Amino acid sequence: MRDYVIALSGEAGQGLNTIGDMLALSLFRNGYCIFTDKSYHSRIRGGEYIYRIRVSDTPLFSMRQEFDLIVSLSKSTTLSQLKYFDHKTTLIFDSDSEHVTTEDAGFEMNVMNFPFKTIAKEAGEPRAQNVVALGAILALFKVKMEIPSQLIKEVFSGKDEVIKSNLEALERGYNLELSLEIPEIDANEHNYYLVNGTEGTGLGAIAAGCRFLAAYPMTPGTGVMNFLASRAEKYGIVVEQAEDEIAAVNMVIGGSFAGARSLVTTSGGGFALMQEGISLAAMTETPLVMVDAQRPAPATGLPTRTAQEDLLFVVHAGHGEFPKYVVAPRTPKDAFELTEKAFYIADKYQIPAIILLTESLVDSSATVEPPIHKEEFLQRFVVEGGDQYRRFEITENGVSPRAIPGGKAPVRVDSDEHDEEGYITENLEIRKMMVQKRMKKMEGLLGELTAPAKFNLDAPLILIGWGDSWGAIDEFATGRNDVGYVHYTEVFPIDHSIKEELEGKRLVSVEGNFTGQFASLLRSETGLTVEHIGRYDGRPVSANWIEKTLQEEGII
Amino acid sequence: MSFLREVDPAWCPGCGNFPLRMNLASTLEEMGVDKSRLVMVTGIGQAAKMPHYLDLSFFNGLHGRSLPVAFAIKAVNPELTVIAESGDGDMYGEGGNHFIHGIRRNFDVTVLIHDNQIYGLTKGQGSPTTRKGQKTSAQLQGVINEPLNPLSLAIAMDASFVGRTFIGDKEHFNKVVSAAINHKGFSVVDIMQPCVTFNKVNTFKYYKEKLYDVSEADSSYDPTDKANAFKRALEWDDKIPMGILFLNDKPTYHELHPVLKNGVVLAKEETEIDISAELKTFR
Repeated sequence: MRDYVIALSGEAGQGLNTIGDMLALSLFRNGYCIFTDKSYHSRIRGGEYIYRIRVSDTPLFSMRQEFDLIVSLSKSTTLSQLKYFDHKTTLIFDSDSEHVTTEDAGFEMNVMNFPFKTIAKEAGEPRAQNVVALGAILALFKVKMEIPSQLIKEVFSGKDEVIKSNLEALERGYNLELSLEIPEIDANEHNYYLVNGTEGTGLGAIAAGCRFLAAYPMTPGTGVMNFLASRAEKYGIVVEQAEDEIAAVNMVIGGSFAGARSLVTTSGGGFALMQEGISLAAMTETPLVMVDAQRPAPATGLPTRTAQEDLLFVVHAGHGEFPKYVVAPRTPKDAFELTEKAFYIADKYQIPAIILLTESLVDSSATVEPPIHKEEFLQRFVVEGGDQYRRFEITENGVSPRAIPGGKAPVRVDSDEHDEEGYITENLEIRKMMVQKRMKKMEGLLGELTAPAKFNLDAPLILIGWGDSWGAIDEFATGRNDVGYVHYTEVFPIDHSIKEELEGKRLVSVEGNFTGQFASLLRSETGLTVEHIGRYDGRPVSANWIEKTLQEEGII
Repeated sequence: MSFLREVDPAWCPGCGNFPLRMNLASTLEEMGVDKSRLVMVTGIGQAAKMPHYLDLSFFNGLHGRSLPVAFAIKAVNPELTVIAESGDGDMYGEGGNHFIHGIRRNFDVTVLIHDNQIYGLTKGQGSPTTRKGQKTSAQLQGVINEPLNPLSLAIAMDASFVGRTFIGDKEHFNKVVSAAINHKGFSVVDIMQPCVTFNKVNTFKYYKEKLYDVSEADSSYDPTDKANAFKRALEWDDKIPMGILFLNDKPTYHELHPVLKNGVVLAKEETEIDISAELKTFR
């Protein structure tokens, strides 16, 4: 595997996102594999914005921390990134802006200066300095100029003058001819897709037949809401911006009760407000699908950073006891497939299903195989109902026939404990039977789980992971004989069958949190001894971070 | 078609909810509402128990949250008639935010509020509509907060339909509630009723003496005249206005929504979805 990491750095408002997307897409369309991520402050203009692109010949799902090349449009941002420089890092600077010097850095840097602004001005568009940089990098990777030219035409569609000057800026960038050595990375025709976690989740929701979404905006969960809003008319979806999170979750429960596949999206703080709704969905046995895109907490935490801190909170969300299903996708492809499955499981068992994303997953684009859409996941398990219809009929597997209002049978649903017909009751025998009925679903649910990903379980050290840490863990363990891993995406309930395979191994959980939440969960479910290492500085776990931390802890 | 269920409601003897239940059932019957297409959504409280004592589809959810649920039911299946019903604590207290935004959304729902100016289920605390100075189980020296005036609030926000009625006048109840159900848009009906156990001020006699119908008092009353409706809605101490106070003919949520205006039923089950073209845009 050969790879190269490019960082575009500057301030929010300097067009880095647009240019980063164009760079990533151009490299991807030229046949490279791409993984991107973003590091940004919670502000609209200014602050720090780093768009990283990792180029490789096979798909990768995590970032390498050290840059090979950093193109900088702002001195202050470059200074904050010096810790990610190594001896090979080349800094390309706009010579028309304030420079970072070797003195600033305190070490010898490979610096190249180009007058991006002047070149852009000559091309007729002073704001196109980043397009000049785009051209220079793409030329370095021998990307055909037609690819970015086409993107410029799409991005500035309808503005002929802007297109003309940007194409001119692009060409001038191509002609800069950076004298840089980059590794030979194969670019091949491929059948991959370039998708981020937001898009994967949104596409999965559309594929699952989601027709109603309610949400209150909260970073980084908002992306999924915006994604469905942008396709609402095309797919006949109603996206409602609720007055608060409490309204959002109740709307989604109402939508689901009335028969539409419905989704609520949020982040940890919003999820906290929705807990009563989760409990309501459980008591009324209404399917509920939720997205929690995690960010560091407590309270408002770090809005634009990543973490895996909500696991135990989500697993235990809602008051009272009831089954729920929690998934944490590894990749954007996984996000698609698990979102579809979450809708299916929620409908089949009439329970809350929660999709745990992270900021790093929703904001990262990865080169993925085409996601697999399963038509059987569209099954709704809705019945017509007749004269004798009982919404909460006691059944062997705990799942009662679900009818929706507007059909042959009246559908009665109550948040208080109720009898089989749905009428409020204080009969404690019925209460007991209803608890048993609801909990009975756990048995069926356990049978729906797919085994966790496993690698080299013969090794003495087994890393444990969940969610989007998979890319980093897989990259670290691949090629080592002494390390294996088990990685989960279906994080609740937990399949116990893994216990026998793991007995006698040293188990170390790698997580984006301080306390080792998955380690606790696995320990409490299986009795296995699980240690952990955790990253909680708001940045994603990477292969070299895992290596460094395991060494520091004396584990390897 | 009877909407009454043979059951013994768990309300105190003499509770205003009893006649309200009878009035509501007969209004629905007289209107010929299609039972299979009717859904009642309630919050929590004594009033919110109503659907258990009627024969219809219902969603009895959380305290204060009937409106978000009602909105979504109507959004995904416009063929349903949706009634949101609850008490003053539920709709104006815990649910106050949703009440405001429900008016803003103007979705086609009828909102019936049992307004007895007290919390009944939790035994007699002041509600948002309890008058200043009234002594309650939690405000022992008397309520010091200003009462919420739901009608003037709704009129100020240009609500689509604003009315008030009284459980002691079956004919009037029938007139206002059936007009609200027939009205296209967000219809608010504040229903005056006594809580015989916890509110010794706002009694049956109190309402009987003070309530008057705005159209009966003035045959030229124009409910589309906002300024005048607002003025009436502010009356309370000597006389309390009821009837259809305000009408504002405006497009509903469904009529304005880019997807729903085409008559789409989101609740329709899908068995096949082709996402391949959409996926191709990510190549």
